[in-house]
Amino acid sequence: MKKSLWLFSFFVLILAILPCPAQSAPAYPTKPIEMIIGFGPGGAADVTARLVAGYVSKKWGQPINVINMPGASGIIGTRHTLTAKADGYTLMMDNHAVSAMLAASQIDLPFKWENRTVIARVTVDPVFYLVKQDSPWKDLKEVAENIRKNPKVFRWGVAGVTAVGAFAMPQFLEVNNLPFDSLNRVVFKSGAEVVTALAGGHIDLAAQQYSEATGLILAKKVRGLAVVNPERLPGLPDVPPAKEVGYPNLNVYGWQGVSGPPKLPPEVVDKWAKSLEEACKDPAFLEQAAKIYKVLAYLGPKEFWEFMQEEYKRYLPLAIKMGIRK
Amino acid sequence: MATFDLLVNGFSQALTPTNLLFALIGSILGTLVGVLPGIGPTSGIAILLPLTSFLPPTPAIIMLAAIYYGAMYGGSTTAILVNIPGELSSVVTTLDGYQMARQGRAGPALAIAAISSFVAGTMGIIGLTFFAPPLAEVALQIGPPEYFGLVILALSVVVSLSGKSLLKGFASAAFGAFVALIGIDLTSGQKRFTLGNTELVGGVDFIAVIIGLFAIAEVLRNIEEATPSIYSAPLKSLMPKLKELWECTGAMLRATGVGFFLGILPGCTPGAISFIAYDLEKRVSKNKDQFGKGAIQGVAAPEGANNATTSGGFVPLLALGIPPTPALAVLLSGFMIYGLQPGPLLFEKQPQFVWAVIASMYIGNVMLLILNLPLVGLWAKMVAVPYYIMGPMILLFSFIGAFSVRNNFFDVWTALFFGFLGYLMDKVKVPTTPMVLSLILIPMLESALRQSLSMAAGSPVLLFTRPLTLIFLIAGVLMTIFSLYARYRKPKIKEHLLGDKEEAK
Amino acid sequence: MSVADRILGIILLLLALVCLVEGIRVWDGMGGTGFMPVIMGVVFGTLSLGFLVSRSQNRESPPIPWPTKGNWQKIGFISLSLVLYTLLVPWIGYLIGTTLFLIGLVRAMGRVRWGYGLIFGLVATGFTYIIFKIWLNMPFPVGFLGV
Repeated sequence: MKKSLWLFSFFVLILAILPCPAQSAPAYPTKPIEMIIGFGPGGAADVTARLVAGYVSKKWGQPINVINMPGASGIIGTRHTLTAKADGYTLMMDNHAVSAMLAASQIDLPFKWENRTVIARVTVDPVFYLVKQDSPWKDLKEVAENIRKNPKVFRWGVAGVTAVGAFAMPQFLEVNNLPFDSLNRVVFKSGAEVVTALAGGHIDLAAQQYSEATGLILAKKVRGLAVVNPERLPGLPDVPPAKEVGYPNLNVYGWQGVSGPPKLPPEVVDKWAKSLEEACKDPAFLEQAAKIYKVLAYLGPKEFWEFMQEEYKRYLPLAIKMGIRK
Repeated sequence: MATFDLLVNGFSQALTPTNLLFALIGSILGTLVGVLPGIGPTSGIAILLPLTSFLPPTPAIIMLAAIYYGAMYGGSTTAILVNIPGELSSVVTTLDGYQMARQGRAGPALAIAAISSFVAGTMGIIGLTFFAPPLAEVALQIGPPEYFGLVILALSVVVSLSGKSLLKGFASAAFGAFVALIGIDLTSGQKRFTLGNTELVGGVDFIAVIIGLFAIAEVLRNIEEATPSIYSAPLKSLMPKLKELWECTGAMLRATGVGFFLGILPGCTPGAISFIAYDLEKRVSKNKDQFGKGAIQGVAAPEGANNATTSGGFVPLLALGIPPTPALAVLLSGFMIYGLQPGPLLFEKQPQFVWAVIASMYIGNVMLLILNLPLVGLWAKMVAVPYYIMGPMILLFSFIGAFSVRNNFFDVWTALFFGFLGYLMDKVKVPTTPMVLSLILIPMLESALRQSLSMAAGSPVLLFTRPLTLIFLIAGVLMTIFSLYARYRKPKIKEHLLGDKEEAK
Repeated sequence: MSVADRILGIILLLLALVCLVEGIRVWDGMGGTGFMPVIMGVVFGTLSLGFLVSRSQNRESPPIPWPTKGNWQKIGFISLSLVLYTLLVPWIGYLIGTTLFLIGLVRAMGRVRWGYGLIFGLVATGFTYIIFKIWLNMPFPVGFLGV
């Protein structure tokens, strides 16, 4: 009895180990893929993830499950992905907040931020510099002058230390040669709270993403003074691009893309990159993205990686100067 | 008037067979999701969103809204039957609801939850229908200083939740505050109390804490007492007595008021709101001693407040495009995917859409009532299930629930830890409810305080000069004083005689 | 119960120290990161005094209702199972772990036969697996056997 039990267990063990080495395995993907997102449902990143996941899974006929793992401004979800098995079945929705900005503002991350395989960037979320609707300021130059004359009077709202605003507004101060503490920084939990506070007059300035700002701009509760984008965005013709109003050097904006654990197999990366590139050219996908206020801006694996490195080079010095590295 | 016409128009759209069908499906799915611990309306809507993708916009949105309503309702079922709050807003329902179940009155508890939800929800939708735009404007005026005042007001509830020993109640609340501070501080990016542990950096998830304190601890207690089942004798009745129903009308009205108006404010969580409604009801009630032991108003108040909050939440959502809670944020993205652009323009440019959705909310409320009242009988019988089945299932669902909030295994450990802690706290008579209240409110308090200070470059002046803030602060102080007075007014002899019976759960 | 009060007092005192230490470590001005921790430190300190120096005036001190010997075993066993389950599931996977866990629990809580326990364990595990993993796509732990 004992001997057959041993034999049986031995067989079970063998059977379990056998499938492991993927020899001439069938084409990826052969089972559902998990797309992790380090934020809760409903945010800008989450919505994009669902859109992308929906599109790609339809194309490949394999479910892609979006799994929310919120916590610590995206650190928890990112860590989970970057330490997962690099078989292409655990990937994540990457964005500005969990890459360069995170690395710039956090000294000891539980992972090396560059230790990831970047696949492709899918969307960008241009940043709007906003004031409330009835603010007397007509343009950014006026804002800068007012801040210069009245340091520590005006209040600026931001959604944490890895939001676009956290870098966009200080960059604005920097290009105007204004000290970083000339504005009172008021921190909120989310972009929605920031724009709400702006609309209610509790703060005077904010720099938020396209998806967060548009609703209230259209509702005429807040006004966009400039947008960080090469051209005006559809539906918002009154907001000029930053370069047209004398600020060609403002270049902080949000983005979303797909990344995975380090050393992902090249077939996985290629297949994803190809499908994402097609998505960004597909009019139906474009329409869906426009509905949730995202601009499609594909970058392939190599370019995406270079892009991230550039961001890091830009944000790190800014973070050090701001003194937010903790 | 014009609004009424539009509403009628909306009804005519919402009452088509297709739309009705999807409202029904949404309600059922939402309720199921709400019953599952841990998965609240937020994740529920996110998960079920793809299901709506094959529908045209109007039925899709109707279905999404129905899922939301259903989920908010579903959480109360498990709260009453097995002391597991399905989501934050059901926590308060456990206080009296579960006690009622232990007394064989699970039927009336479930029924009153359904009825109160229906009444308050419907009244809330009426408020939404006719007063959305001006109310939304008011909501915008509430800024960080006002929130600070509100939270102080809400914290005054701690006194009445403290049971016999105020000291122990405060200790419990203090510990809750401590747990709330663990993690990354959003304002500075600084880690606090994390001891180098990566998991703690993500903070302690409060649903996991609540599952532990309420569900797991309760199972441990029941094991000790060798409870055969939650309630063993034949059930007394399935519906509340007419007299009880009548006694609840005041509760329902008050709860609607509190829930609706506070639900309009972005950032005011339903959990906090139900505490406030519960406390208000307790203060004005003639049988306040019964609260915590199975007072039927103790179920009517939070449940009504929840649903009124749900309706109230749609005010800023539809009128300004601002979702006041995470669940509504997901709903908002769902809406946007279907081309609904919430905001003042919504009422102008897409009126048929909006009114169809609002009409379907009325319908959704009715559906939930019709769906759930008959089910009361079925659910109520669950209390007779032998505990050796119930107990393990509750534990299993607790673990799954804790895991499901963030898909994070650490949260299961959290739930387990707080389960043991809750059991111990019960032994030494330290109440657990103040801890939960604190856990919910302290993060709000801290951010409101720090935002208010930042707005004035570090000076606390705003807290003392803005009128609404002052009103809330003074109200909070007064409420605390009243509660303390009520507590110590009782002659000492009575305390002796009543002994330990005065412990709040 | 005085002893319990004293212990509570000591715990609160320790918490007060932890809060003060951490608060000072991250201190960056009034109303800054360290503000709340320091306040909590003070609060805990005050509360701990309340417990350490209080005299039970006319408060009855009924003994703490610790479990009886027999119950200790039951509670101990179940608590241990809970901890073991949480520890082992990432290693042996949800399906196997939960089945074993449920069988153990149901037998501990009620005097049921192994067969009954097995059926209950399998059914409940399967049922929850279908709802949560298959329908709702939750990433349940997968053990080394791949299930």
